[in-house]
Amino acid sequence: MHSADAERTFPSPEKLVILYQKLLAFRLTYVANAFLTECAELAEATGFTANWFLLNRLPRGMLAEALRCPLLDQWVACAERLIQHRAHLLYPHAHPQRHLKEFSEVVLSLADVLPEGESGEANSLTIHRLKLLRGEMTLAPSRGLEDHTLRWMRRTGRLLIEWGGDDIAIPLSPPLHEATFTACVKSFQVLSNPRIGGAILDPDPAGHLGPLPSQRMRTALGNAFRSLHDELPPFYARLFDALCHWVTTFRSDGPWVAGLLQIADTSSGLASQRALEALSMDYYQRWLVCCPGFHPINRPEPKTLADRLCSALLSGNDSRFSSWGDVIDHVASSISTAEAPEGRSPRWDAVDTLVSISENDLRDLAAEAKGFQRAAAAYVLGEFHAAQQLLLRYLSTDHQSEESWFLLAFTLRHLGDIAGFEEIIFNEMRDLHNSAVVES
Amino acid sequence: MHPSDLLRDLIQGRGSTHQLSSYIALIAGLRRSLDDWIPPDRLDSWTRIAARLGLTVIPDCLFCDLAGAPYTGVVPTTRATAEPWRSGASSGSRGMVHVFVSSSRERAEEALAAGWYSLVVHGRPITKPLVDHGRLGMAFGYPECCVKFFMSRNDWPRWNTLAESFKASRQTLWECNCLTKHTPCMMIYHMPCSFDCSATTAYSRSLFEVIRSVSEGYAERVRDSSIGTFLTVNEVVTYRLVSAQLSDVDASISYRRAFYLGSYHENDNLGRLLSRGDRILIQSGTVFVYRGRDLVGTSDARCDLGSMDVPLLLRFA
Repeated sequence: MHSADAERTFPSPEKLVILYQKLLAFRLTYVANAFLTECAELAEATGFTANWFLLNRLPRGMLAEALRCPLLDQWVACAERLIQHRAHLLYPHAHPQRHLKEFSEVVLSLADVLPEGESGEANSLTIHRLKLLRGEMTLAPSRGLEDHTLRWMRRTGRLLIEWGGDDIAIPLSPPLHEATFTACVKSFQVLSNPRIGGAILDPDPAGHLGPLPSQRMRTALGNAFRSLHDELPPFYARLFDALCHWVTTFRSDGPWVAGLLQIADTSSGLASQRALEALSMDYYQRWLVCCPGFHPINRPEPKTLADRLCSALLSGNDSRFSSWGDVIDHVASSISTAEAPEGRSPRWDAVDTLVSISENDLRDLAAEAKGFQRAAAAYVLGEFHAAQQLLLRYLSTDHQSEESWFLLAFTLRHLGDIAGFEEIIFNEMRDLHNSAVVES
Repeated sequence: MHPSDLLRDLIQGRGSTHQLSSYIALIAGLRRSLDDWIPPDRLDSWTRIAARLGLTVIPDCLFCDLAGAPYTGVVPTTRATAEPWRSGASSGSRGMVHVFVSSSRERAEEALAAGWYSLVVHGRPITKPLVDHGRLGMAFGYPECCVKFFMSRNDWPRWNTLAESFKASRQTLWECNCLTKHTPCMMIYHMPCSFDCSATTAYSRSLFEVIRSVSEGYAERVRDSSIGTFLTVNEVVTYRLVSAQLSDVDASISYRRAFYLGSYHENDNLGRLLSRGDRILIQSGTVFVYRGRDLVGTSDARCDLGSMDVPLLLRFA
């Protein structure tokens, strides 16, 4: 595919960001509604309800700013998994309770875009770090972990924070310099954002803050990218150029595309190749979130996706990557190929649902049903000879049915034919005339 | 056979001090079958010793460690590669042979048929139908109520089986304590449907009497190991808290030492934190570890990373 075609198929980085932010707003609303309706008492007790309504008072035009906060993206992603697995209903007083409390920290990190006069509390017991200014600045208590309720307020162009007997006043009007910060935080250590700063930019561990993070970040990113670029072999360098293009160009109207770029590994000395891989994986995972229709068969798990993406990126021929579109195209085709339907695990839904049926009903089903369902009923009843015959008959009409081949394998196992089982499972034998299948 | 010879045979024959109670239950007819992991070079001799004990051993496959993972010498239920086991391949083979053991060949084969462990074959995980989980539980001779419980709750991303057992319990009886299953003083291996399950309690009481007839001292150790305070996060992150005392002031528990009870020490991160403290408090899914009044660290249990981690303090009596 040429790059022109790729542009038609794949959203541009700028469009992707807008899509992503809209989607994030929708996802945030969805999880908030789920918590407010499905576990209202927990939401109230943890302060989530109050914080949610506080967030709803964002001034017009500030939503896009708020959506760039990486803390928000993280919080929503985790909330989705908790809701998906019904953890908020099954184990409300474990992780879900903590997660709802932690929403107060998200709101605190957005306090600078809330209207003057607004105030709130962060009541999490596990505040180790205060993330402020949409995640661009982090304060760490210099005397270790303590349990205190934190109160904050927006007043006269400053963010006022009261925590553990300390009062902090952070001016919100730029330009903000290190000296200004140092003067106002006294008993706190100032850290730049650890996720990007720590991983790629290698900030001063003492946390000295230069110009506003946004300006500093832009300069430092450029330097870091150049430094990485110089270390990379030619193929990686070109690929890296393509990957970084959208990051640097989109930086024009904001400090960085928070929520669109997360390097989770904060360990120091991140190797250049690994930084590249992490950057690529992260971008692509987010790209998939925005394009759910891209892979209708089976969207890979993040880890699988990351591995596959990495392998696709690193195994390519450099002559194919003359543009960002080419990179995406190559990765997309690689993932499509690798995720072909025959590569899936067996799905036992049709067999597993029969487990809850009474034996009498199951016998009726085994007598009346047809095809695979009849064989499945025989299997659940433990009538393995019948199941084998039914599966062989069904496979003679639908040879491609992987579920039938798998069920036949397990049927053979119960009939004591381990060799037949292994032929199907390990050697992927799919021949109905094979003696391993018919003789048992 | 002298009772103490039985323990010696079970330990020396298999090269392991694990699952002793399960074997005693099997020989006494309290269990139908079990599965075990035997070093390849011991398989032949163990098969002969087992035959003397009236047991049939059927090899399933050879489990080997994944490259780079240190072998811990205990039951490798996860992170292993498997190869078909070929008779006579014992010399020079590494890893452990997965076997099914029963008092009859028919029962061992029944367990083998249902005993497929999820395996990645040609890049795809091969699981077995749900009904075979039930068949395996029944083939092992576990209580039917517990087998049904296991079938409906053994789904780590969605359920915490220990928390579910606890929810279903009115009391926590030592006879239903499955947390010691990977230790030499295990009592029961299966996950009980509740920690006061009547079928499990009856099984344990019968087994305890049989163990006493084998070795009074060993029976006492088994019982003592099952009594006390335990901290669990999930099935592989479990600890026994020694000298645990509930605080009068708050809901914290003081302890002298914490022993890891899981089979994989890679999962023992919390243990390193516990070793630095002497008191814990669980709140909002976080374990706060203190030494005296100082907080030395916290451990956040998560429900969003593939398993439902729920910190629980269980006091078995």
